Amino acid sequence: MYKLDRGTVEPYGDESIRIPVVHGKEQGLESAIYLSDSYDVDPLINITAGFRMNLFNPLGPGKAYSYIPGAPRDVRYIQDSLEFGEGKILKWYFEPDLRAAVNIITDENGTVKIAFNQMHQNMFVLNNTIALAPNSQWKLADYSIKPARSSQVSAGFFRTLPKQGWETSIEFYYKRTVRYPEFIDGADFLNNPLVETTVLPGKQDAYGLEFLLRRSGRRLEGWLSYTYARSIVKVNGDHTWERINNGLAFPANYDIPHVLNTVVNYHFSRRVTASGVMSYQTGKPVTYPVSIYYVNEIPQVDYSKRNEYRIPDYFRIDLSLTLEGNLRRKKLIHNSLSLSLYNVTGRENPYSVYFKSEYGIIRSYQYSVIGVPVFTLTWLFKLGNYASD
Amino acid sequence: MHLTDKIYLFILLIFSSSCIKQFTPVIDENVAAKFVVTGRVTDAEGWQEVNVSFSSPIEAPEYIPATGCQVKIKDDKGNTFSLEEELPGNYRVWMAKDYLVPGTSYKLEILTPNNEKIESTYDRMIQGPSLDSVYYVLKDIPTYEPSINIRGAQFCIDLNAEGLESRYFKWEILETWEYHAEHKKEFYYDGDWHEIIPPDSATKICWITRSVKNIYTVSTNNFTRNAYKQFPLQFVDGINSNRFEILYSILVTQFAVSEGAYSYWDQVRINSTEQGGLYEKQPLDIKGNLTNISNPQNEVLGYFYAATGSTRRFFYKDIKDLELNYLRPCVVSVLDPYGGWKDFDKIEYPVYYFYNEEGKLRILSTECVDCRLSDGVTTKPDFWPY
Repeated sequence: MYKLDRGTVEPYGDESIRIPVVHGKEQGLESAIYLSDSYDVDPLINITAGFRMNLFNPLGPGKAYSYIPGAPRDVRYIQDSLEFGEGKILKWYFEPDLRAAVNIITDENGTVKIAFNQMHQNMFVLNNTIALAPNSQWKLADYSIKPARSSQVSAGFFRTLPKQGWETSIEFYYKRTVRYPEFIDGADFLNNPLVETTVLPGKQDAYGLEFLLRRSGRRLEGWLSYTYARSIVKVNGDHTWERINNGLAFPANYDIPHVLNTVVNYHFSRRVTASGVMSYQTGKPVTYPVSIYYVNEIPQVDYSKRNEYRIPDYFRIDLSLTLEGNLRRKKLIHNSLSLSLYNVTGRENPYSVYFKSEYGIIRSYQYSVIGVPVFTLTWLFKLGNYASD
Repeated sequence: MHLTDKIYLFILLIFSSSCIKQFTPVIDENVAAKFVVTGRVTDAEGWQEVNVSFSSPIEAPEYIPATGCQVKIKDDKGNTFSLEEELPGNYRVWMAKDYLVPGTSYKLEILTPNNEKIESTYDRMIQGPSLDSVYYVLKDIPTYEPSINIRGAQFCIDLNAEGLESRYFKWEILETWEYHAEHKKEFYYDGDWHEIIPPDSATKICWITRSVKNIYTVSTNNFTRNAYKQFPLQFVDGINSNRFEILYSILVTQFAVSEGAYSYWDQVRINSTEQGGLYEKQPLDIKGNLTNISNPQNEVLGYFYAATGSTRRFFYKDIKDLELNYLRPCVVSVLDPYGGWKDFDKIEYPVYYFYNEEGKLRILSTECVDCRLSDGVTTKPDFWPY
């Protein structure tokens, strides 16, 4: 059972001239039956297959609108309105999901996994910014907005090299999502409670690979992970008002192609360990205002194409040195001292970028959290000896 | 220290090291100075106008006309019309009715002083219906204070395009209203006291004419009837303006446009910066129908379109059940009993005054005797009915 309070946009302070907008409450019931079976074709090959029948019912109370078919979904083209009482069913969404996976053991140190999954999504976060912001909205599928459907294929290769202490994996995936709601160009998300007039169903292609290399049980240990992930959206309907970004594909708000994380630990001895963490990711997509022009003497903002630009990349290095207390087996308390330097380079990584119109001029701002090196000293106590969990 | 205090302290420490600072996005220089072209051909014989300008950087917005362009309108029958630059960036040509026939398609060609060639796509002129009635209904709209509504006149239009091809419409409104200063010029002080006989009423009656900046568009595509009842146009209340005080008039022009032009203007309507802040709306990249042929990678903003128009003027007065309670610019004050007339500097001369019903002298702000200070003019429009 889902219950959402979509909130109210209210004026802030006495001087605000904002008119309150109630976005209302929503509820919905999700039910499902799942059948699956597992079959060993061979001692080294296992197949799992499943079928899930989903049912989602958006429930009242609520008011739903129907729009003139073929016309833009807009308050100007409302054809009819329907009132639903408490607990009344607005729509029946029956959606089947198929799932299958093959697990192949190639040898004692390696496996290959291939999978196909279908999923349905009944709840969404509608977002236009690069970070969660007050205008991010949770939304259930409803009378007008259908659940999104995804199909994903993936293949993963896993291998361990026990003599050297290495383990590695690489996974590839491709996911196609249909009916994923995307904000239309110009959508007013705070002042318009009729969400169906501000979104269009889009096709989303997500693909990428995830690579992991890990070493453990050695003086020098740690891990390195790299992810290449793309998420591209296209909304290109028959009419111009059924398109986003003029029908051209664009990066999703959370399209971050490159993510690289490494952790390196070096044990000088059992009591002294130095660690380094490096984190990098491509800047998130953003739509910039690029110029101002005048149409019939009214200033208009000329925006870039949807998510055409990116905020600056994220990069951070942290260092630490941990000194363990004595290693006696029998003792009541073990303590350790850790000296850490967070964000060594002091880089001001933007958490978000936003724009404000100030006296008719658009200014851009970046918000960064902990944009300076931070030194911390941690003295940790625990019951038991060094090896106790 | 309680645990919650420690948590607050920790959060405070985190955010004390966070910062908001101005940020300069790295934007390709070419995109900040695009050509902007707006213009249209209508079926009304007369001047057909095209405006060519440049967009400006977001940190220094200004209208930058593009002068010295060679501008031509071509139709699909082989006719070419060369436009002349009337004002910087404004080009126009007089076109006779014979060349403005619905069904004809028109395109725009521009050659800039740098020999860049800009072209629009062809846009077909579609026959639209004549303008039906425009009327108002009283409406209470909410304010930021939930218990307070503002009452005003919601102007509406009925559209009937049955039997016609046109499915996309745009309206433009020019409003004119008469208002009065509250007093004639009768007495004034400029170091000496004067009485004007007879009282001067030359600046008592004014008219303001303004185009309504809002953009009104609608599509009847896929409607079972090619009609729309009670489409809302502008809203005028009695609190924020003096429009209804004496006589209010609107000149409404209804255009039938192509789907492409409708989509363009509908996007301009949505993108209007007057509706919501930048942070509240999904940015909209408005696509026009013009291309820079010489440098196709350089986007051209704006739209050139063809339209048939139908225009009617309407007058409104004495709006029933609508309270007029706007802030009047006229300030009446009492002569300071101590400083008297010496309180006024020469720069404030002439100081107008009058005697109220009780025969007492009262000082008038200049707005009380000169309506032009409220943005109007004293020249009566030709179409004014009396």
